Amino acid sequence: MKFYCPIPGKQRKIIAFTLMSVSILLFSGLYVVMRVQNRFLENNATQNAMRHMVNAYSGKSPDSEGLAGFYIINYKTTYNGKLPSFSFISGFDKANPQRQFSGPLSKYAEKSNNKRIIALTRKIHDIGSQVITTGKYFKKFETSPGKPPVILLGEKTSRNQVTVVFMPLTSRGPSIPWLSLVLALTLAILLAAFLKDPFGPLWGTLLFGIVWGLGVSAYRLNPDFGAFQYLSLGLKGFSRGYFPVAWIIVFSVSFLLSLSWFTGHGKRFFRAIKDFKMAYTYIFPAMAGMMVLVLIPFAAGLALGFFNHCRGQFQFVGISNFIEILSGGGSSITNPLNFWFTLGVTILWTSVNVFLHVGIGLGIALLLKDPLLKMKGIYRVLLIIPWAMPNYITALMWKGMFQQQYGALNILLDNIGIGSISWFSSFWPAFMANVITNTWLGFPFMMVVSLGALQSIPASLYEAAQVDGASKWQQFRMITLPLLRPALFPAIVLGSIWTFNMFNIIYLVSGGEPGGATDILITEAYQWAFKRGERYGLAAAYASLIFVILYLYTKAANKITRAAEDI
Amino acid sequence: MDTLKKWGPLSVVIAVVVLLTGLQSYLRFSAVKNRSSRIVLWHSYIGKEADALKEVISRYNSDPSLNGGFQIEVLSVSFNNLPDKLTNSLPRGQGPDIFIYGHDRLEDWKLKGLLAPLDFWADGNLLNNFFPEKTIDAFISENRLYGIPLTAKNLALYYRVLPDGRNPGKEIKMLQDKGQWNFKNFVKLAKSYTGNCKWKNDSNCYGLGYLADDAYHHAPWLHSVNGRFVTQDGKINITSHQGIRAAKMAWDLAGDHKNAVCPPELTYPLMSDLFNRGEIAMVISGPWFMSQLDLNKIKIGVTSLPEGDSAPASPFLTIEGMYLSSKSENPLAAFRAIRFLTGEFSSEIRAKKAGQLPVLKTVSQKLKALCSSDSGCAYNKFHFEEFLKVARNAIIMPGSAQARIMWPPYTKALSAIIRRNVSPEKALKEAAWETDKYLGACLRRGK
Repeated sequence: MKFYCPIPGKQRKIIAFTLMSVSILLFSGLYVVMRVQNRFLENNATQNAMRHMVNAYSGKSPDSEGLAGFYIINYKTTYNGKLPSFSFISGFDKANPQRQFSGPLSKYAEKSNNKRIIALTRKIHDIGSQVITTGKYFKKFETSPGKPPVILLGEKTSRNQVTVVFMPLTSRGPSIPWLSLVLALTLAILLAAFLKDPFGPLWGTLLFGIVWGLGVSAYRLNPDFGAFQYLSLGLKGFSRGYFPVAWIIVFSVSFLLSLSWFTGHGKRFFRAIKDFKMAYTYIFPAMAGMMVLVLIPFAAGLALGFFNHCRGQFQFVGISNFIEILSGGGSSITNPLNFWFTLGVTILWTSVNVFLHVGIGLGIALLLKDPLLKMKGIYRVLLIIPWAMPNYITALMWKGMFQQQYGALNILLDNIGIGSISWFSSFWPAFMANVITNTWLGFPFMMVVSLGALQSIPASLYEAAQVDGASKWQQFRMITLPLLRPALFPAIVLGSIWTFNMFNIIYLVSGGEPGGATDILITEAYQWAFKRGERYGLAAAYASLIFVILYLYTKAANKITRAAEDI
Repeated sequence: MDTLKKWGPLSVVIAVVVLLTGLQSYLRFSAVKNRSSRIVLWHSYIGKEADALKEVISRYNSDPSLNGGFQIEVLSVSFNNLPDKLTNSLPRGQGPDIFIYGHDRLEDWKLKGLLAPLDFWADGNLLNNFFPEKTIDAFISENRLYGIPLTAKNLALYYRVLPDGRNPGKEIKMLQDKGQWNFKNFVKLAKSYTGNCKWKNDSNCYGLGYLADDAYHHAPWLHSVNGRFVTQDGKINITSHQGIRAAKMAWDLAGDHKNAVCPPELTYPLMSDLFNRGEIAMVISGPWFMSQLDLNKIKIGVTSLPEGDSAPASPFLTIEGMYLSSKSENPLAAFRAIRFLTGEFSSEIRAKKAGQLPVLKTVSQKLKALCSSDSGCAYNKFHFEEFLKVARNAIIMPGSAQARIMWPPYTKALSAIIRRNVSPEKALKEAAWETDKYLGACLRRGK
C-alpha cells in the first residue's frame, strides 16, 4: 500500500516550509527565554545570599526568608597546621528548623546517622576548607534530581570563623523538555511531506535519528526534571560527556543513509535484503557482531582523532592532530618521534619480514614437497609449532635469548668466537632482533599456504616440461611460481598487514630500543596514548593514518593481483 | 503486508535500541539498589598480599559491630589496568566506593574530581600514629586529605653471604661504623666482588645488581648530589648539573662496560636468579624483592644506601593508601571500612602474613616487642627495622601529572647513557625536550 499526500506539491512545500520555520523560531525563542530567566533567578539568589552574608559580618542573626541554610562554623587546624577541622557555632536548616547545630562537624554527622545531614555537613566542611585556602567560595550547586539548584556562598566573616549560606533559586524557568520532541516529530512529518515514498526506510531512519537527537538535546537542557531524570540515569555518562560525538555519529549515519538512498545504493541495498532475506538472516548475528565490535569502535576511534585530551576533558581541535603528526611535530626526520622516520622503519620492517617469511616458507614447502622425503608429517608438525605458540610467549623467550650477558644467542656467539653483541644498544642489531623473532613466528604460515598450493599443481605439467627439456629453475619460474601466485598473493597481503601492525614483537622484544628507533607506527600510537601524557586524540589520529596507509596498500595490492591474473 | 515488510527491519532495530536502553536503566537501578548495604573495594594485590587483605576483610564482614551493616565486597583488578579502569568508571558512578593504589596518581584523580577528601573524618589520633610521619603528607594536597596510608615501599641495599663464605655485610658495617659509607667506598666494595667467581667455574660475578636505566632506581643517586626530578614549585628539572653528575654515577656503576660492577640489561627475574645463585653480591631493591628470594638457602641482610657527595642516597618513598570515591553512595560507611583496613589489626595481619611494612607506630612497636621472644618473627624476617630506617630519610615520590610524563623520557635518557655511551648532557637535554613535547597538549591550553 502506498501513501500519497492529498495536498498538491507546490502548496505542500510552502506549508511545510512555514511550519518548519515557525517551529524552529518557537524553539529558539523559548530556549533563550529560559536561559535569561535562569540567569535572572541566579542573580537574585546570589544577591540574597550576599545580603545574609553582610548581616553575618555585622554579627546580626539571619532572617530565614528564602534561605535553605545558614551556618557559622569555627575552624582550627590539625596535623601540624596542614589540615582544617571545623565545629558548628550556630546554624539554620530550612528542612528542619528545630535542629540545633553545635560541636565538631564530623561528630555531628556521625551522631545524626542521616544521609542528608552527612552530605550537608561534608559540603559545609568542603566550603570551609576552600574558604581557608582561597578566601572565598561561590558556586551554583545542582542538588538531587527534580530539585532546584542552590547558590552556595562561603566567606571568612571573622578570625577563625567561616559563614556559609545556602540560597536556593526560588523558582525556575519553564521546563520544556517535550518541546524538542514536538519539534522533532514536526520536522519528521514535514520531511515526510517532501518525500516521494514517505514509508521507505529513509523516512524511518531520519525520523529515528532526529527524534533521538532532539530527545537527547532536550535532556541536555533539563537533565534533572520530569521524565528526563530517569533518562539521565539510563544514559548517564553517555549523553553528557560524549554527547557531541553521539550527535555527530547519528547525523553522519543519517546523512550517509540519505546519500546512499538518493544515489540508488540504498535502494539496491534494501532490495538485496528483500531478495536474499534468508541469507541475510543467517549473517545477521555476524553483521551485528561486526557492527558492535568493529565498526562502532572504528568510528569512535576515527572521531577521537579530531579531539584533544587533557586531564579527562576532550576538546575538539579539528585536524590539528593530523597536522602535528604529518609535519613531524617539530622533530627532525632522523628523530624516532618523527612520523616519517617511524613510517620508514615500519615499511622496512614489513618488507624485510614478508620477504623472509615468504622466502623461508616457500623454501621449506618446496623441500617438504619432495616425494622422496621421509617423516614429512613430523617435520610439518615441528615447523608449525612456532606459529601455534602464542606470540607473546615466543617474544619473551627470544628477548631472554638476546640478553647481552646471559642470553643463549650471545653465549653461542661467544663460543664460536664472534663475541657477544649488545643487541639493543644500536638500531640495526635491535631491528634484526625483532626481525629474527618475527621471522621465527611468521614463516610457518607462508609454508602452510605454499605447501597447500604446491600440492594442487598437477604433476603432469612438470612431466611435460621435463619432456621439453626445461631445467629445474625454468620449471620453478615458469610453472611453480605462476601457479602459486593466486594463493600466495592474498597471503602476502594478509601477512603484510599483520606485520605492519605487529605490536607484540616490537613492544616485548626491543621495546622500541634504542631510544624509540625501532618503534613502528602501531607501538608509537600506543606510546602516545599511554606513556606520553594520555594524548588519546593524537594516538587515534595515528591509528587513522595507519588505516589509510593499509587501505591504500590493499587497494594497490588488489589492483596488482588482478593485473597479474589478467596476464 | 508490504508495509509490514518495509517496516519490519526498522521496527526490529528500534525495538533493540529501546530494549537495550531499558535494560541499561534497569541494571543501573538494580546496581544502585544493591549498593545500599555494601561497600565495594577494588585492589590489585596478588599472592600473600591479597590473602592477608582477604583475612582482614572477612574479619570486618563477620562482625556487625565493626561494619555497621555494611559489608565489604572485593574486586581484584590487575595492577596495570586498575588506574585506567578507575579513571573510566568512577565518573559514571560505576566504580568502587573505596580503592587501594599508590599516592602517585593522587593529583591526577583529584583534578578529575574522582576523590572525596577524608579530612572531614580524620582526627588527630588517626593522623599522628604514622611513622614515618611523611607517609600521611603524601596524601595531603591543598590542605585536604585524600587518602590514608596502608603501607610504604622504598628501595634499600640487600646483601648476601656468598657461597664461598664472604659477606659484604661485614664490610658495609665496618664502613658505616667508621662513617665512611659513601659512594666512592661503595663502588670500591662492589668492585671487589666483581670478576671471576672461583667457586662457579670462573664465570662472571658482579658486586651489584640494580635497574640502572630506570628513573625510579636512579633516584637515590640524584638525591645524593642534592638533585631533584621536580623542583619545589612543581617544575620538571631534568638538565640540572646534579642530574648530569648523578647520570655519571650510574654510568660508573653500570655503563662503563669494562669496569662496570653491575651486569648489563638486568631485569627483575634475572636479578633475583643471579642473587639467589650468589653471582651478584648486593642488590638495590624494595620489599617486594624479598618474595623472590630463597630465604631457606641464603642468608641476607638489608641496609641503607651509601652517602653521596653532599647528601644521603635517599630513595623514593611510595605510599600505598586507601582512597574514597567522590561518587560513593555511603561515604560514612566507606570511611568506616577505610579506617578498619588501615587500622592496627589490619596493619598487623598484613605485616605478618605478607611482609607489608607497617606504617603505624603502635604496630611496628608491637611487632618489634614480639621479636624478643620469637626469632622467626615478621619484624626480623622482613627486615622492617632497616626498611623503616631507610624510609625515614626517603623522599616522597612526586605524584604530579608532569612527573608521571617525565619518567619514560628520563628512563630513555638513562638507557642511552648506559647502553650507548651517549653523553649525559646530550641525553638529558633530549629527555627535557621530549618531556616538554609530551606536556605540550595540556600546557598550551593553560591547564
